[in-house]
Amino acid sequence: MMIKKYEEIVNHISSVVLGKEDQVRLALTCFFARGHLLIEDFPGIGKTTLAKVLAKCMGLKFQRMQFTADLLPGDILGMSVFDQNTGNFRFHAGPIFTQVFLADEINRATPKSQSALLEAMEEEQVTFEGETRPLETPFFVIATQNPLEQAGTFLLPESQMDRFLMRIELGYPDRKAEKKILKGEGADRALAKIACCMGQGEVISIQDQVDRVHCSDTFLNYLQDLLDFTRSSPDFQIGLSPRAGMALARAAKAWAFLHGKDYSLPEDLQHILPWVAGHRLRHRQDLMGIPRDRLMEIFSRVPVPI
Amino acid sequence: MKKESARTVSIIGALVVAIAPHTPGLPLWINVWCIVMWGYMLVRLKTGWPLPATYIRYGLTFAGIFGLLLTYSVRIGADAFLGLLALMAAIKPFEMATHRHQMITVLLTYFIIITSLFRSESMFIVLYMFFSVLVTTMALVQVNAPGNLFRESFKLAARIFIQAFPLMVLLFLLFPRFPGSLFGIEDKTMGRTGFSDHLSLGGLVSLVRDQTPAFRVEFKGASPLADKLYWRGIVFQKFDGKTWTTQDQLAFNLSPLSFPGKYYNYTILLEPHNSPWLMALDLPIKGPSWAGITGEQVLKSRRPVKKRVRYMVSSFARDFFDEISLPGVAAGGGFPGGPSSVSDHMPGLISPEEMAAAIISTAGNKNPRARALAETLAGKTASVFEKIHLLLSYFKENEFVYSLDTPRTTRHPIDTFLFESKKGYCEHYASALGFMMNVLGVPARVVGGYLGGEYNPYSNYLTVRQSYAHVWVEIFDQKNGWVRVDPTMAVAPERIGINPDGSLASFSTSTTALSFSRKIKFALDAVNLRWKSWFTGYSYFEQKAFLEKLGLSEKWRGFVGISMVLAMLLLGILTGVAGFLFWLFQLKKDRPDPVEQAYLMFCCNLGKLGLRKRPDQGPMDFARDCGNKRPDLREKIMMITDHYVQLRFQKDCPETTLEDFKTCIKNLK
Repeated sequence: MMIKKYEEIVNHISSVVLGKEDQVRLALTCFFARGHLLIEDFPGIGKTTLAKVLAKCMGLKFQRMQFTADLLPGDILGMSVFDQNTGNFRFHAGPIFTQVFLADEINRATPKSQSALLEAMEEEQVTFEGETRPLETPFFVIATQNPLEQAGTFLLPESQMDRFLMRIELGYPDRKAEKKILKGEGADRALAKIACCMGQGEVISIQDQVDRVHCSDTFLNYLQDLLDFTRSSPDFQIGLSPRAGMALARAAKAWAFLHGKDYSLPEDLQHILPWVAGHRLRHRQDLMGIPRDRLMEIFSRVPVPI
Repeated sequence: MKKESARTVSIIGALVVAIAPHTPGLPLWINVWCIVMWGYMLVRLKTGWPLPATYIRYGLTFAGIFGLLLTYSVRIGADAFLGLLALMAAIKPFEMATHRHQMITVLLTYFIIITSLFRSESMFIVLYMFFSVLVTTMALVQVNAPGNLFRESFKLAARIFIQAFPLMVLLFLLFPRFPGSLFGIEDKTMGRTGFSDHLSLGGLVSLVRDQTPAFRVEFKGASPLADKLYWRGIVFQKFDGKTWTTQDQLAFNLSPLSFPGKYYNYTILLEPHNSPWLMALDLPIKGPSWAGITGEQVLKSRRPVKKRVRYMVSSFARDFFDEISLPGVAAGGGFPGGPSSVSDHMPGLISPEEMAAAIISTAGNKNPRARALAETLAGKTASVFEKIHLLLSYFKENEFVYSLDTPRTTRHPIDTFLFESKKGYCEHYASALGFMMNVLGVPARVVGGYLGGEYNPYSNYLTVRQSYAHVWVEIFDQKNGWVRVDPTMAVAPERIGINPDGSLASFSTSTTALSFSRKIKFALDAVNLRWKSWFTGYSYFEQKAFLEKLGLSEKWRGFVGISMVLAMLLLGILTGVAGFLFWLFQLKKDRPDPVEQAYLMFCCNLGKLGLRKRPDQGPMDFARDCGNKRPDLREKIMMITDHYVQLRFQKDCPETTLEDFKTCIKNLK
């Protein structure tokens, strides 16, 4: 039943974001695992479209915000405005009070603004002038970052990268998909045609069901083997944290659930592994991120327990 | 593979080190056998050659035993046993795949190390054994903690070794020792050389060429002059014309009188020689408690000396004899018998003439020419010393030569010596003189022992070698008792103070004159002697003395012994119980998971079909792969994998699934 629904959503989104089915599946996994998504790619690839269509498909509120160097935390979270009629300060909610929030080019904002967003992501609440306001549920942040432009940007530190469950790249569409894009109507038009196929209640219920997916001892042993491996292997500068371990388990559970299982298999873990672990690991020698295929090759040294 | 090879190398290394002391004693083919087997195991680590199949291993075992039977036939002794041990140790590495076999091999290695003591007990071999134990302990560490670096294993092994050391010392000192050997096992390889209870002309030659030490002496206080180092061993009191033999108690019971002379106290460390004679300086007065002094004034143990023994002796050496001023008559020995007539003190005893006749009674009419010569030369004088003088002068005047190269014995050996060859060594001169004196009616007996000693300036003791073996004569004189006469000295006076191997018998403590190699030799000998007297010589009596020094009486000793045994027993029981519990625990831990086993079998079966599972492959991916490659099996494989996933990854699974799973795997075959 779930598979059908899932395939339907994937088809819906893929009809707008052409030729990016794998990324769509990962984005949905991330979404149902209650995680946040970091998309690293060049402008004009379709990051915004992906976020928009996701929100629309799920029937969720959507806000987009372009991050710039002069952005202040108040611009994201909201601010108190003096109301002349009542003579009181009234909280004016910022764009973060939404369900799907697209933080475009997050690395352009100053660390102060970045951390304001990331705090909101972690705690799912905003504290402003001593008053705590919960964010809406589900709350899903898609942040994008341009990997090439370095001037005037503030690279996200590792500790903040860790807040994103997954990091994916969209990449250029293949020739066939691109021709379709060039031929077809604009994304906006296609987006308008998309029907909502899920409600807020349904989304929350799926997220709850993902939490209940069973992780057997054997599965957890494999997960722990992987974590231990990153901690002891000379390939990595620093191993995966327990938080990263939890992220892996959550993502694997979501992946398993979306594929119609109420238990997770080592294969599920292997599927999401490069996207969840990739931005959390750094190679010991070149101090750069590790290419995905290299990462998989390194991880293939860990045997699956029988 | 890397761990495996490190393990194999360390175990084989330990075996090689343990067997090494045996190699000179083993037949050549067993040495070659060991090298080939171990070499193969080491080379196959690099080349990946296969292990020998079971039937080859059986074949090797039988071939080895067959070869052993051919080499030793029925002489099943320590040598054959060591050969078997080496053979088996050589092929054991072929079956060291499991931990259990590796442990057995390591324990076998420890056992082989102990057997080194069969070959030698010298300090060097014991030091080597310590090294060997260390190497084997390293192998033990490798077996139990694989992947350790060489240095880490060494550190751990050294730590274990050092921790065991105090316990070893304690057990060495306190573990109850028994008088005599445990279980009555005696080593037959020890103590073959030495004097036997008969002496025939030419019989000593083999001894004279033997450079091994016969005994070592350490003087307490004054030491005698070099020319007085006559070590008495056996007294031969009977002559049949060819061979001198011992005879019990044909002696005068003489009361000791006070003569001017010196007492010497010294300790002797005697190498085993399988007979009861104990060497002592002429003349022994007091010996150890387990030995007695016979009527011939010879120190004699109650049992044959089969182990190295250490004993203290007091000897008395007379300064001079009355009426003696003869060349060749060695003043300094002699019997402290009374000058008064024998019959005065001991009525009923035989006269000297009768005794002389008794000594050569069995000689019959042998050596007639020697008898005639004795009568012609000295038959007319009455004085004993005059007779001795006349006979010795005969040797000198007729150009007798000292030589080890003597003709074969004949029917009348003394005649042959006196009239034909005119050359011989101590035995010949002593026999001839002794025989002729008895013919003249003067009791004379032949004494076997050693002359001289090589002084070790580093440790203040004398080494007396087998080659220093010497024979001389004791002649009875009414006034002086038994007087030592060494006829060899009349012929070869250069032998005085010089040992047969050319070393000086002087007590010089100066080492400057010694050559470097001699210095090394003395130093090593000194160290080895300390070792022998303190470690390998530590037996029942030494332990008793040690415990008494600690204030532990005999009663205490028994108590200590019993409590030691009890403690060992308790320790043994505790170890056993702990081992049993550990085994149970291990059994529980190691009980293989049924799901895992069944799935491994499934993978193994598919592997035979060419469908191998990559270690990093999940079960579903593997099943899909297999299904693509073998569509005919897809259904079965998927079913098995479903069961497996159910058992392993799903939340609740019916109990019957395991059985179904197993049946499915069986059906796949």
